[in-house]
Amino acid sequence: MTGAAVLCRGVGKSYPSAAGRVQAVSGADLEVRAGEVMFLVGPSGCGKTTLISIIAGVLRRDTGECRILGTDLDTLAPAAASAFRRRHIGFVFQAFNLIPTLTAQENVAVPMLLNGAARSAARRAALEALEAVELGAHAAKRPSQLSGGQQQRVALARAIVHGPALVVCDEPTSALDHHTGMEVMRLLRRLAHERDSTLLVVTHDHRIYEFADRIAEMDDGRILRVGAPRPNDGSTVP
Amino acid sequence: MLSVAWTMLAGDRAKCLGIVLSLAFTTLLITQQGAMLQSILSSTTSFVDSIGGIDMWVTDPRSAYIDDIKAMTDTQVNRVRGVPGVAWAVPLYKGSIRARLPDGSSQNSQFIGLDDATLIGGPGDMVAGTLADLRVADGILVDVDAAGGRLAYPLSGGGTRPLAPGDTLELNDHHARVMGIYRGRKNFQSQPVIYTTYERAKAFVPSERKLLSYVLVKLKPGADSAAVSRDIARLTGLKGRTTREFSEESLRWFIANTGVLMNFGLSTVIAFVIGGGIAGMTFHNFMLDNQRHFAVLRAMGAGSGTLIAMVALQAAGVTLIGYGIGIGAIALFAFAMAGSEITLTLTWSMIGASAAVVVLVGGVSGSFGLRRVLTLDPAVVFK
Repeated sequence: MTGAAVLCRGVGKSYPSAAGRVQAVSGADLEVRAGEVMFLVGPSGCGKTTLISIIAGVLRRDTGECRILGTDLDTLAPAAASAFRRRHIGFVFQAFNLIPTLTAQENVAVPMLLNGAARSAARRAALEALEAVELGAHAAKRPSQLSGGQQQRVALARAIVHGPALVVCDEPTSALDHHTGMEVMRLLRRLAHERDSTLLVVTHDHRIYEFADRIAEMDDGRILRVGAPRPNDGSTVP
Repeated sequence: MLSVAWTMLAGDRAKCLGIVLSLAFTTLLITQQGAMLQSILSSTTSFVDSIGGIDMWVTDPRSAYIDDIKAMTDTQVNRVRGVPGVAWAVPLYKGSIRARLPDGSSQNSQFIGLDDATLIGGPGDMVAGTLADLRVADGILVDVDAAGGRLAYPLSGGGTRPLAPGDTLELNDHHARVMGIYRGRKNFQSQPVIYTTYERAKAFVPSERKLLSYVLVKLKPGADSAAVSRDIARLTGLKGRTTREFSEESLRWFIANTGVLMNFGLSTVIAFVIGGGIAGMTFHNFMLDNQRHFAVLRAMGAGSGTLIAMVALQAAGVTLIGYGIGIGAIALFAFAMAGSEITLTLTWSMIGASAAVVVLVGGVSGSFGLRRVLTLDPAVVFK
C-alpha cells in the first residue's frame, strides 16, 4: 500500500465540563503513511486518546478533516462507519479488553464473525492468528488462565486476524513488565510488516520507541513534531 | 456472533444461574397459583358442570349460586313440567348428611338425591356397581376417593380398606347399603359425595316441609331457553337458568364474594414482582459487568442490529430455560399431587398465560440491558 493511511488536518475536538468546554484536540495535523509504524506520544491529557478515538472512528471530530484509508468516517452513516471499522481497523487496548467468558480462540474469532465469516472459518483463522503470536497451544484457555503478556498477545491476534489495513493500539505495553512489553512490541511490529498493516500506537513508554518508524509528539491538543526516533534513545523525537 | 453472545452469558455461571432460577421461580409460582386458583374455581361449579343431558336448572328465585339452596316444595316440579317448551323436569336434592362408620367415627358428606324413576343427574363413571343399583332398598353410591379415604371401612384389627359394594354405613341413623363406587369431580368442600334416590334422601334427612333443591329440566327440541326461562318465572315464580348460565353465575358469585381471587392474585403479583425483579436486576448487573465488552464490540464494528440480536438471544435464552424449568417443576408437582387434596388444573391457557408473563419479565429485563448497550459510547474503550 502506498500513500497516507491516516491523513488529519486541523482536527479539533472539545468536551463539555463543569468549567465550560475543554479543548482536547485543537488543530492537530497528522499523516501516517501506509505500512509504517507511527507512535503518538506526549504527556497525559495532551489529547492522544481523543485523537486516536477520532482516527479509529469511535469519536466524531468538531472541526478539521480526517481521512482514514482515504475515507472520511464522519461523513458515513453509523452503520457504514461500523462496517468500515470492522473491515479495515484492528484494535489493541491498554487493558486487553478480552471477553473473560470466551476462550482465547473464541476471542480472536470475534472480528471474523463480525465480518460475516462462518464459525468454522473464523475458528480456523483465529487459530492461525494465535499461532502467529505463538499461543496456538493456549487456544482453549480463557483470559484468566493466561498471563498479562499472553493476554496482550491474544489481543494482538484479535487485532490482526481479519487483515485490517490499520491497527490502532492504545498503550499496548503499559500493563506489562519491560521484558514482556518488548516482546509484545516485537511481535506487533513483525505482524504489521508481514501483513502490510499500518500501525498507530499511542504510548507513554519511551523504552519501546525503537519500534517506531516515526514518532509524533503531541502536547496541548496539537502535534508538535514528527520524526524518526533517535537510535538507542527514544526519550524524544529528534 | 449469537454463539459469542450466549457464551458470554452462559460462561458467567453464577449470574446465568441466578437469572434462570429466578425466572424458573417466577414461572413456578405464577403457574402454581394460577393452576390452583383454576382448580378451586372449577371445583365450585363442578356439580353443575358434571351433570349432562339437561338444559336448565330451576331454583328458588333468591338462589344466587349453586350452593345457595333455598328449598322448594315438591309440587314445583309439576308446575315446571307445565311450562311451555319443557320436555320433562325431574327433582334433585342436594344437602349434607353425617355418615357414621362401623367404628363409630363420623364424616360430614354431601348427599344427593336423584329422581327415583329416571336417576337423571347421577354419576356417569362407575368404578363398581351400576347407577341402576340405586333402586335396591337403602342403596347408595360413594365416590372412589372417599371410599378409599374418609369413608374407608375400618378393620377390626386396625387399619382400613376401601369401601366396597355390600358394605353398610349409617346415614343420620338410617341404614344405608353401598351399591356402587363412582369416580367424580372434586367439589369445593372436598367432602365425600353420596348419591341415593330422591325419595330415600328425603327419608334419610330430617323431615322438613320443603326439601326440593333443584328442578332439572330438558327443553323440547327448538324451544328457546330464554323464553322458557321467562315463562318459568311468570308461571311458577321460580328462576330457570341454563347449565352454562348457572355455572357462570355461581362462579361470578364465588369470585365476587370470597377472597380467593384477591389472595391468589396477590400471590401471583408478588411472585411476578419478586421473581421478575430478581431476574431483571441480575440481568441488569450482567449488562453492567459486560458493558465494556459490548463497547469493545461496538468499537470493533458490531452494528446495532448485531448487538440487539445478541442481547435478545441472551434474554430469550434465559427466559426459555427458566420457563422450561419452572413449567417442568410445576408439571412434576401436579403429577406428584394427583389424587391428593391439593389439585392443580394445568390448562394450556394457564401455561400460555404464565409464558406470556415470563416473556414479559425477560423482555423488560432484556430491553433495559439493550438500552444500556445501544447507548454505549464506543470511545470508552480508549479511556
